[in-house]
Amino acid sequence: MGALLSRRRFVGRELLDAVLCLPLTLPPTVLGYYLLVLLSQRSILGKLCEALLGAPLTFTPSGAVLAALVHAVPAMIKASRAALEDVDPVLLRAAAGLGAGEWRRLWTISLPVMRRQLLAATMLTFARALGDFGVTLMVAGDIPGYTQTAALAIYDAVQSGHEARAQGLIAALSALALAVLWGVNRLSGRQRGEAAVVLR
Amino acid sequence: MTPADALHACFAVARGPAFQLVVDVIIPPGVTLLLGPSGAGKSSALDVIAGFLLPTHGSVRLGTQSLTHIQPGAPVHCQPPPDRRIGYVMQQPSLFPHLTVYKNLAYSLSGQPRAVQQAQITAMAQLLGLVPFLPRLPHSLSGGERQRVTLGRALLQAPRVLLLDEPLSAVDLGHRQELLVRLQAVLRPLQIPVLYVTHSPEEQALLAPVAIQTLRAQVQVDESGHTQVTLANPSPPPSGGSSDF
Repeated sequence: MGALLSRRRFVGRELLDAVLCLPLTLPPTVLGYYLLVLLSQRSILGKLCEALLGAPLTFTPSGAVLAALVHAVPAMIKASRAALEDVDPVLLRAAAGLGAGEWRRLWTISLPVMRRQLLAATMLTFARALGDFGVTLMVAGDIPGYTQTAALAIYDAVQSGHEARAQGLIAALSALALAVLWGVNRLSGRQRGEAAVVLR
Repeated sequence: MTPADALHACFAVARGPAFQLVVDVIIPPGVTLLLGPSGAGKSSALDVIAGFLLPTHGSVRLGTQSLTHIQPGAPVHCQPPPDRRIGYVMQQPSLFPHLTVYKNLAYSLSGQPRAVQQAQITAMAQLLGLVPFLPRLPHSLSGGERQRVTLGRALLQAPRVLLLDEPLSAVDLGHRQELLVRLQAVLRPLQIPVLYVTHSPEEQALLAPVAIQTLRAQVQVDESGHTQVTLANPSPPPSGGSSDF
């Protein structure tokens, strides 16, 4: 999707970009409400899901995954569009001159050249998905042992006075977040030295 | 080997309201030197031939095959660069930084069997003195070494035309002479149209014995500040068959 937005000029490109990135700016509960309406048993998409999966998607673990995805993926699209737009056009022209079509240029030049940035974006996206609260709550609810995510479990634990349980989860999530940031910084820091881009 | 087709380029490119480049040349097989000051639109001319830039109007053809054809009232025809098989050594460094010298050289050979690739790459590496660099990455090479790899990569695609845009501009003076001598040896036997762009008198002098013709960009500035650069064969070309202008 990032490649499509970065390389192709088409009518409505910026509109598509805006719609895809709406989840970045909408409050999570609003986003969750939209998803809920979209997937409800009365909507076309909801009926389609039910027909395909045999059960509604809302308030299921799959619903929780979808919620985290919708919440996090726009950041990934944004980051990959920026990374792919950053690829030196001279390299792409050279590849085209050597007979490479658009797909081959994407796979053999753009993606490998930008792999560190894309990996960093993937890690940040993962962290964002992990931390989602509002969208998951709206779409999948907070059913312990079924659709309850770590972020929701912390809320529940604090509300019900299970301090120790909350602190354990908080420590685990904080450690994971720090690890992700450390990894992202390492990946983007290395990028600055040209030697590091290519030495692995 | 059948004699290669001549390149016919007859087009105009406008860059802003006050600059126009007019090209009307036949480039027969062999080396053609193209001289002119920096900023005279020489790179734009090469970009049109390679298919990266559309002219305002005009055409580019190789023998009888039309590469670009733009005329008012007719549909735009522009063969995409990947289909043109035109070797283009650009002024800017264009080696793929994440691929070894070997893989850079192999880039245009992807459809061929591995053994064929290896044989061709080894032969090219020997010709250009690149054998010790094959496993290395471009960032560890000097400017001159990189340009040799770029030239080798362009030649390995068995191009129908070779465009060299100031190929020595990124090479330090000490190595230029040596590289030029090597270039002479590589370019001399080529049976395809080679267009070598430079603004350096030194390169011109060294390549003149190899060149079959020399074109000079004529820059005209009129009183209102409009610049027109003309690139044309000085006299009827020595070979290249019938002229259509």
